[in-house]
Amino acid sequence: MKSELYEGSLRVVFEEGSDSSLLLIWQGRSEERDPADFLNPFLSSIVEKVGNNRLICDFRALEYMNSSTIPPVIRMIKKLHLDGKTVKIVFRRDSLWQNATFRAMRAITDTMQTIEISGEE
Amino acid sequence: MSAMVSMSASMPPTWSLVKEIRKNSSEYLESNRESGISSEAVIMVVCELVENAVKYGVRASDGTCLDFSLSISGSQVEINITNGLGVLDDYYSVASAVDAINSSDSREQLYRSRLLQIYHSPVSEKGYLGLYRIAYEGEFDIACHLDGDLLHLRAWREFDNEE
Repeated sequence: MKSELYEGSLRVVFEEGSDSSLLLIWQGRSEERDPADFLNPFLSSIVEKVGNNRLICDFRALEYMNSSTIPPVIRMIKKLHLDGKTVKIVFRRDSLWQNATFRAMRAITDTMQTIEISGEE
Repeated sequence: MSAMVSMSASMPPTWSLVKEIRKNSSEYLESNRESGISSEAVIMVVCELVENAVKYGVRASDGTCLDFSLSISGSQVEINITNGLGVLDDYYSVASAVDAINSSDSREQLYRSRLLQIYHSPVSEKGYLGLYRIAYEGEFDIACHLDGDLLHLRAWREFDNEE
């Protein structure tokens, strides 16, 4: 089940959580020129693997992402929503950039019944 | 106090220039920690501006590919970046985004609207999301102007000293 993506300073790990949830953990820095080139296929493949499980998409260990990383994340959210997945997106609320970025992303998820964005420690 | 980081590229820059400028800017900000400036916000703005210039810039008729400077004067940070312009439409796109930012009552709403546009129309385009991010997340003001085939972008912010 475990899948990993390494690209530059970015690492994204997909694995089983402690309960029936699945985890998608983002770490490092996403600062490549065209992150959509590798993120879109990777994230599409992850959405296919979620099945009926709850997905926790955890950005708290992500130090930075450039604005070119945002469209692939939005694309992933859209695919998860259209597929009816249950998702919790977690960001670090004491991080200025994460707080601003993910709070704004609620513009997209506010009307989605099964996708929530949560700021945590 | 006034100080500066300044870098230029006379050859079409590679992506590694973004990391080089980020590193130099981080070191410079580290040496000016007493100024109360949020280095996180400044580095984000630096990276977004340089990334745009490297991605979309070309060599101008005077040989300029990219000129970058970061300066601190007291609690004011100013970033200037110049790159050659490939097509005039690029300038109009940048100027349109800057105008939208400067005429907006809420930069957060503007940024959220841009994210919704991406959600509904994800086809790749030069959307200049980075400029909206600079204004909303970085809380920087932005201005741009055209000089021949050179695009000049200026971003600045006055930080308070409470951080």
